[in-house]
Amino acid sequence: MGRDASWWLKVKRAQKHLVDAKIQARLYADSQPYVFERLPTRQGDRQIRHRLRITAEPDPMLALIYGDFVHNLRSALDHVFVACVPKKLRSVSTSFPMTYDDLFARGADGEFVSKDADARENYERALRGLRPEARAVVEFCQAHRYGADASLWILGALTRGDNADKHRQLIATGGGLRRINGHLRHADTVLAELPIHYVGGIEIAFAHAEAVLIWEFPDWWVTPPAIPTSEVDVEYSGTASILIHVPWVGGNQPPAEHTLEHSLVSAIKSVRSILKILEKYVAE
Amino acid sequence: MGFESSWAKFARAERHREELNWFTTETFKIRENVPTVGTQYQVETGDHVVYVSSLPDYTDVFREVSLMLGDCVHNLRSALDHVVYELALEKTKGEIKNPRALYWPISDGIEDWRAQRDRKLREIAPEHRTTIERHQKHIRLDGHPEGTWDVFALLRDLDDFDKHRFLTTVLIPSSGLQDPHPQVMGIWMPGAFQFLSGGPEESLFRPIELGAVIARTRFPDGVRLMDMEVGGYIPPTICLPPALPVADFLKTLFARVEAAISDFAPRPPNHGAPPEAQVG
Repeated sequence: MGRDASWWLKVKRAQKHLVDAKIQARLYADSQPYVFERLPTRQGDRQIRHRLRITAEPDPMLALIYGDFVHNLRSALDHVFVACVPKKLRSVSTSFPMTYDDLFARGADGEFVSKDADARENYERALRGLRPEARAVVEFCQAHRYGADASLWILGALTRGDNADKHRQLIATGGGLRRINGHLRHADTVLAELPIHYVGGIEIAFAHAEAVLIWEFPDWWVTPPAIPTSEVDVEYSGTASILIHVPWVGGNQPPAEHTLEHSLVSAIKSVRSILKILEKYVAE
Repeated sequence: MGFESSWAKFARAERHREELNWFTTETFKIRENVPTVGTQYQVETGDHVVYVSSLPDYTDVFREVSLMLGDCVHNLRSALDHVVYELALEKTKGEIKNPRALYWPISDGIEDWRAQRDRKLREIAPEHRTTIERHQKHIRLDGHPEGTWDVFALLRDLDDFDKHRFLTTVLIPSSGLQDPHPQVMGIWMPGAFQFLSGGPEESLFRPIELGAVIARTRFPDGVRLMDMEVGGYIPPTICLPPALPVADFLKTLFARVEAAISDFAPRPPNHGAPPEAQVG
């Protein structure tokens, strides 16, 4: 299939929203919406502690852009799915299903573990007419296969995000910092540059809001020259990150949070992979 | 949160409509994207005709329009669904039992309304159901028996369709010509007057096709004009099939959705206005 197939154009549209979301995220990060509040230091303390506080939230428009992004990616899956079913077998139910429970698992007594017979019927109806090879791909994509991590499975998260967006607002909030850097300062002098992502002996890729960052002095510091701890400070900086909150939308899936940057990239990559596989089974 | 999220979705839909308007305006500003008309003398009838003499390939235009329109209707329908969710939050004091069942019903008749009401508005207060019913087809068409379609029904169908297929749009000729040669106007104008007075028109309200005749005139005996390949341009109008201009449809649809949300909460001042237009 060519790149002008409708599912690829839906992905292209999602990419447009991705760019818009990244612009919003960049504007937010550039506003440096955070402060590090120094926590009290005790006499002889070998640590300097700071608490990260987020001081501003992203533009609410960001959550709406994200909603359009997930909607177009979800539609791309449905578009290719419908194309995989021969025309005469398509119905209004034909669509890419996503289940968070194994609807067909059976217990020791041979009965279905899930008592949701309607969901089973809907699932079968959605898949009707699909070739077995394509069906295997769709079944492999189901969120329940990831057990406790089902809410992290990106295609599951995509579907949940789309459902949530239709019914109630997704919310974007400041979610902390990534790419953290720090400088140890005494008055106007930089005493040490803290290695990137490496603060207080712990590698830090991401700090949540309200996280406490600790700079611990090494032994060589405590012995002379010994500037009092209260006279030095660590200046941190980083890139403000954004969290998308997906509310509870029914079923057994609790509310979830996703880092915007991660979910944008991984969602589009995952959908592309699935499309490439499924379009081999597009019906004539 | 209140009904803020409904208005936010509405504002997002407005952005998509602006994008769509901008896209179509800019596209048809470029001469190469506009069909041309020519004139021809038809020996068999003795008529002079204005016909579509060239037609660009609009495949990419239709695709872009479909994507933008899809986003627009999706946000409008979500705006309505958000209203229902908010009403359920109010009724249940935040203890909604089945959020996935909550939708703004768009029904095709009284029986359909009753079925949808019992399924989708279970967690909504009776007085709110009554308000929502006022926006259903069976109420709105009362007193308008000539009405055969409902703008909300079209919203629902477009949104459902867009999730699984491309939305289909067509181009019909608009009512005027751009930079017409006097010869073209000589043939066009009598036909236009005929149309305005309720007479037949061959090609208005039909998709533009290469070679299609859009005006026809018979001059007095002996008058025969030279055939002309390019005698002007005919700006097209993007329509939903068969001939509903997208811009007109969206205008009506936005007004209806705005009225529906406003029944529950007025639009906040400056909500969704472009940043430069916002005050404070």
